[in-house]
Amino acid sequence: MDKPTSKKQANVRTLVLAAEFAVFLAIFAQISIPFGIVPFTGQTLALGLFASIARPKISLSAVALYLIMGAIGLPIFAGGSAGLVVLFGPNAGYLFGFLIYVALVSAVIVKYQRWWQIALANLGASLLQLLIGTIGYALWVHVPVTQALYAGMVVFIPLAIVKVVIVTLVATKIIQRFGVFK
Amino acid sequence: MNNQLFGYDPQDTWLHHLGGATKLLAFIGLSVIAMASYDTRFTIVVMILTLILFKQAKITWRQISLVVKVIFAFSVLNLITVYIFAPEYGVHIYGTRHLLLGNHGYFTLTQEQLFYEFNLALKYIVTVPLALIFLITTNPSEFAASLNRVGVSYRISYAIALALRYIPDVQANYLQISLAQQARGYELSKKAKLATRLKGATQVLMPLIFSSLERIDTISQAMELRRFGRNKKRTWYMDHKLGKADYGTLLVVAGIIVIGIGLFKVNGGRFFNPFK
Repeated sequence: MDKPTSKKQANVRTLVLAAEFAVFLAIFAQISIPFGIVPFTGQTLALGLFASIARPKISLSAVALYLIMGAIGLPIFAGGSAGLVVLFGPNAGYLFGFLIYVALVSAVIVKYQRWWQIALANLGASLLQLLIGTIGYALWVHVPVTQALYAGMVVFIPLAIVKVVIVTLVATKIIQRFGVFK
Repeated sequence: MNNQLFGYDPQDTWLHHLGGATKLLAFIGLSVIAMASYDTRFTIVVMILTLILFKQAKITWRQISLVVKVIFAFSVLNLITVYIFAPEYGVHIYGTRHLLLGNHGYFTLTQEQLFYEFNLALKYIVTVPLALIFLITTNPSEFAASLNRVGVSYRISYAIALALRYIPDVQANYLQISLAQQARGYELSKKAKLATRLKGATQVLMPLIFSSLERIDTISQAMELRRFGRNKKRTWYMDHKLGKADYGTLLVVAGIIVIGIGLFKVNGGRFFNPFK
């Protein structure tokens, strides 16, 4: 894939990539498999995938764009939900945790691109995002953190591992073909 | 394409002719007041209004079936989750306790909890049609222009318009790749085993991502050649000057918002309490 030759061109590419990645986030968010009281959504799958193939500016722009689109009311969050109410509701921690997730993974990927490094970065970021989301949920709903940790994090861990495996396999193939998006 | 997530559908209705900025402000205003207010009477009135608007927008079930099914499933799941985490939250809000099921233990069912969850369900019925009306009656380019008009940076506005244009493209692409892979013998139907379906899904996912990434250079170079981002401001081909219908709509929406806020004062808070 061609490298941008100027700062302006890099900015345009960042904007186009951010839009493309935000679309995948929106579409993947609607893919869900019920898993107890917690749905398995494709959202974090897309999140991990794009964080694993792009520099922080691009992946952060994509997540920010996704959150802005959801905030102004486009039904693109999990389950077609949207609006400021979602962004500042019980699930706010999970959504803002996306920014931390992509920042961490992308920062690692810029320097280290071996499959096990991609896997470790995604696993660590995934667990941190779940932790932030769960604490946010517990504080919002006034539920003991220990109870919330089980329902909002422990249940998710096996799914997080499955997602990390898929992300690692797909991301390594994309990096082989396109390199890391700069 | 059937069953899109959402997409603009050009029609000849008064809602389609309204300016993008008007629809955006009306949509955000009504959504916020409907979500903020827990006055059941007010929410029901707004719900009836949105359903009338929905009918007037000439939106067909075929256009929205997928997104409605997904939202319905999540809404039900959300209502169940609310009950599991806080079965006594209604009691806490309304300050009374009318027991229906279970007299001790964690899981009890009260009229207050049911009423609270009914209010939550009403909010979905109000905000979902509003979102769909807005998306289906607004051209993405006009939407970008309207965002820019209400103060959003034109780069962000354009990125959102670009994303809205991509969604139908990605979905059409997905359908093409999916059919091609099924013709090659990959199983994607619900009848197949999970492992087989996952393998089939991977065979769709990889080409879908690759084809999407391959067009990025084409689009960014086309934008660069048109000097996108060179100036601090830009004009919009699809910009819409506000007319009488726009001002009238904004006035009605402002009136509804004022009534909603007024009810906060009448009810002594956001909640209408029929139990006292």
